[in-house]
Amino acid sequence: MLNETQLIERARGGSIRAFTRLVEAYRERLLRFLLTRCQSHADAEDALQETFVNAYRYLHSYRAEWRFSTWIYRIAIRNASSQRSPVEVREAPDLPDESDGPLEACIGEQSRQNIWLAAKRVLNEDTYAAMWLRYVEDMSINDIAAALERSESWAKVNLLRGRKALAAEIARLDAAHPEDLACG
Amino acid sequence: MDSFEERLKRDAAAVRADISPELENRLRASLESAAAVKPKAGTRRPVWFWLASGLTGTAAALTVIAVLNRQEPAPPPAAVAVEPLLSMPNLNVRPAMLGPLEDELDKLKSDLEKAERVVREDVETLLGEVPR
Repeated sequence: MLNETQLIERARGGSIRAFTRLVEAYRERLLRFLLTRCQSHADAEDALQETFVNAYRYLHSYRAEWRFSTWIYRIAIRNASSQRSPVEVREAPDLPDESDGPLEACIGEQSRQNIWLAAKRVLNEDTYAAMWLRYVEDMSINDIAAALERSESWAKVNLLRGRKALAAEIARLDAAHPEDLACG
Repeated sequence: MDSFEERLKRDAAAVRADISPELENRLRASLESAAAVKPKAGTRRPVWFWLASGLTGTAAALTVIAVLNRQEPAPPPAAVAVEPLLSMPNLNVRPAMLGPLEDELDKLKSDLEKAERVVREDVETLLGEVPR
């Protein structure tokens, strides 16, 4: 059983099978993240496909001192951004029609109190991504900054702000709909 | 990990991200097409390639050196007459600024001589011939 580093080395040597193993390890995680970034499920799938193709194409530029997850998330974030038209980018802050987004569709009716729906409403895109990378992917501050192409200070400050804003939103929702508390 | 972080993680896991068979096929096909056009980065070349390459380079360098050494030495350049090039400028030209001053000096000398002659004639008329 090869570990991630060995798979990367073999993939760099041209082994498509080794790279396919890396794809299998990351595809669900990346798709879940891209569903939160893109405007539709189809866009998220397109971004996922582009991410893996670009990763394979530019694997020679990957350096072993980086975490592979940081590197591939960085590609995914860029691809997610390029999937949007300029109009959609301008409209992104007003997103929150919950019934339309791919994230809402993938969460399902039974989990309407999902904290990431609230996060999508109250956080800007990069802070949302930073929160996801920190609390879902367990990335370090350094890796988050690298993935989002921001400074470490930016990552620290925005994680703190995001957490505060999200906690306030959850408290507001819990107060407004106490019957849903059991779901959360 | 506090309850807030646990909830973030749990709710993220609740987001369904199933890879459909169609998506899986798309991914596989796109990777295969990318692999078909990807240049073989960092492909190692065999030893004989570098040996042959080095020998070729050395032979080319030796050829160039030999050709350059077999060429006839170039004839010395023809003597060039340097005299016209070294003709001295005329240093006797009067400087433009001094010309008017010298003219003025000549006029003053002339006036002085004239005045001296007039005085001498007057003195001779009154006192007789004055020795010079």
